[in-house]
Amino acid sequence: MVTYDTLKKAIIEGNVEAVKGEVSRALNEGVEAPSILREGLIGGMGIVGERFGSGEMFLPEVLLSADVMHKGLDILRPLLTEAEQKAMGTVVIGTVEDDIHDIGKRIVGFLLEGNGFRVIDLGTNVKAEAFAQAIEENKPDILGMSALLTTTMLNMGKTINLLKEKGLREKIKVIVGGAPINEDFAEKIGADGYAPNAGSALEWVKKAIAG
Amino acid sequence: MRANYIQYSSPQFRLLSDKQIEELHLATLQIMERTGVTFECQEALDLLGEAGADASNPRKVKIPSYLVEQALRTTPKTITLYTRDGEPAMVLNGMTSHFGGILALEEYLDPYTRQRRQCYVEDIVDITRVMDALPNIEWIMTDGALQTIPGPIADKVSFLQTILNSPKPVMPSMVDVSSLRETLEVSAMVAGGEKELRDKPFVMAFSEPVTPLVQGKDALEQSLLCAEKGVPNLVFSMPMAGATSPATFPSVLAILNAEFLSQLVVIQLKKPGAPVIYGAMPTIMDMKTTIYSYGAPELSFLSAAMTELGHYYKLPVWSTAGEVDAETIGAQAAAEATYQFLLSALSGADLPHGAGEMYQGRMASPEFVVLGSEIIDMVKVVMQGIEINDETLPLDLIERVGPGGTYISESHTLKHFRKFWVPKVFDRSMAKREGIKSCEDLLNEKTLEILKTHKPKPLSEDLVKELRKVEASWLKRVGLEQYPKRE
Repeated sequence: MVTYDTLKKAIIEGNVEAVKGEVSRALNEGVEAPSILREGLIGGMGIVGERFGSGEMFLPEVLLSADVMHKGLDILRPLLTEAEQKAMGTVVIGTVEDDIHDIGKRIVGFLLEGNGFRVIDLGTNVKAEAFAQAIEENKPDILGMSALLTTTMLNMGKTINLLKEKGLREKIKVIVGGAPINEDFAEKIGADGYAPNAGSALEWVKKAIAG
Repeated sequence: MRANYIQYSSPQFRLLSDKQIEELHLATLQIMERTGVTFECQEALDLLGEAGADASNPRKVKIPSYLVEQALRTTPKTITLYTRDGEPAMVLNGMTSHFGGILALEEYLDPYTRQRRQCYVEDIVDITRVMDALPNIEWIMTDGALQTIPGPIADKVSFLQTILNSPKPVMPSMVDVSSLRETLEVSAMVAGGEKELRDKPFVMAFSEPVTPLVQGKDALEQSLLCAEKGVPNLVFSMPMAGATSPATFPSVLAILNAEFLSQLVVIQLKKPGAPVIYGAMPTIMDMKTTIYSYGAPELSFLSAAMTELGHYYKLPVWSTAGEVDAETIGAQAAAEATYQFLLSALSGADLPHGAGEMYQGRMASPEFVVLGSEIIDMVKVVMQGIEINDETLPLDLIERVGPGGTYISESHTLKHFRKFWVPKVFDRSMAKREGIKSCEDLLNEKTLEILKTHKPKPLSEDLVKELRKVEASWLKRVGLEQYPKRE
């Protein structure tokens, strides 16, 4: 019975050689690729997420873990179907129109990718129409919007309204974040959720996709 | 009579040596020539291109060092700020620190209920009056971030309440260039004309590059307008070590310096001689919580080094003092604030800003402003020099009082004891077991007392009438009859 303990440990420690080694070993022993991805790589990142949330691990360490996780995923990729690759979910993120701040959004993107999500980052100063178009094209599970200014955050509501008009709103869940944002605001504009930082955004996305 | 004698009139504080500052300056020039800076404003790109910069790629404009040297030559080395009523208030010349308060953040710590809640317009009036009452708070910065009134007018409304309730110089946060333009029109009305406002500025503006190395459209447009109108303009970015800049401190300084200097070049090309204030708010990204940390000691440390860089260019420097991560007025808030007040004074920053700001930039507290004022008093004690003369070192007196004597009833003591600092809020009463009031309670009492009794100098009735008309037009613009009242 495979326990993946060694693989998970390697991910937590950010040890790329050990990750690659463990993934290859598991494959050689006949373990199925989707299982290694789900229970080994993503399982390891789950522990990393917990430790980040409790303050035991620091963000640069988390990002290193995400990086080595991807090196492991690269070995599995040719053996995964497209559906299996997309298994975790797809997230579209962007900073809203007229706003050019993006460090928070980028960190959310890194964490999501590190946990097996496919992330489409539209960048900054993203108009409502551009968000809508990206949703139509990529059919994501989640839309994440970021804003740093009290004026630009109003464009979050604008985007959500446009999605409603286009019949796209019910097809996705929307989460918002950024320094001036809070739960009340998220509720007011009709978002599904709000997260005060990247770590809780990741947890929210995981729950939102799970059901 | 003394010979070859040096007396320090203040502590001597240096983080960077002369050679290190030069090295940082050269590294900054390299960043500007090699890496380049993004400019998102066509007018700025045109000015730069015409002057000899390589503006062929707006994402990476390369600026040659001679343009920087030219810009530094034409930028004024001192700026005099006036009160709203036209009286000289502060001279920014690298010689003295003038501490400022900040208000109109999203939340407010209500001194009446002692609860944190949304900020209302009435709160801005109250906290302005508290700042007006405290001599240690010499100027006021507004954030315009309150969410109880619509975004398109929040910045202007915050500014208006401030100038109605205090004559102290103001630095309002403006959301875009058209809002700034309107605010300057109102300011000119108060000053008695555009020329009067230019000659006796009581309003400063600011523009924020986005780290790393991005000059946004709004920020540039506001700077260009300030240059045109002769409004003293602060340029400051907020780098986070480890996130938007490398995690090592000299690189934070080089990047913020490049962000300042690249914008300075554009401003001086637009209008040689435009008054500009150097500044930055560098800190770390907290790697556990991912916040921009206000209370981090690194913020004070980097700000102090940044101040030395700004003064190397002989420009007035804006820094930070009194802005904390803590959400309650207690040990963490006091420690974080004290560190900032002390380091900004030791570094000699001209305009340390932010007394009253708590909870990672989200909340303003009038009680915390009062505590800030108390801490500033303590800082001033450290900043005084030590002068040795016959009066301060009275050997004859020491001889007369002799071993085992006492000085308490000497006329020399009577003459000099008033120079000891007397706390206004800290308790030294040696009170009995019961009845010792906590510092937080004393702060609260003092704040409520100020709110009850202090009457700021008002503007003339005619002027107030005109301003209220302008205010009404803003309200109308967003479909309001009056401001939402605080509960």
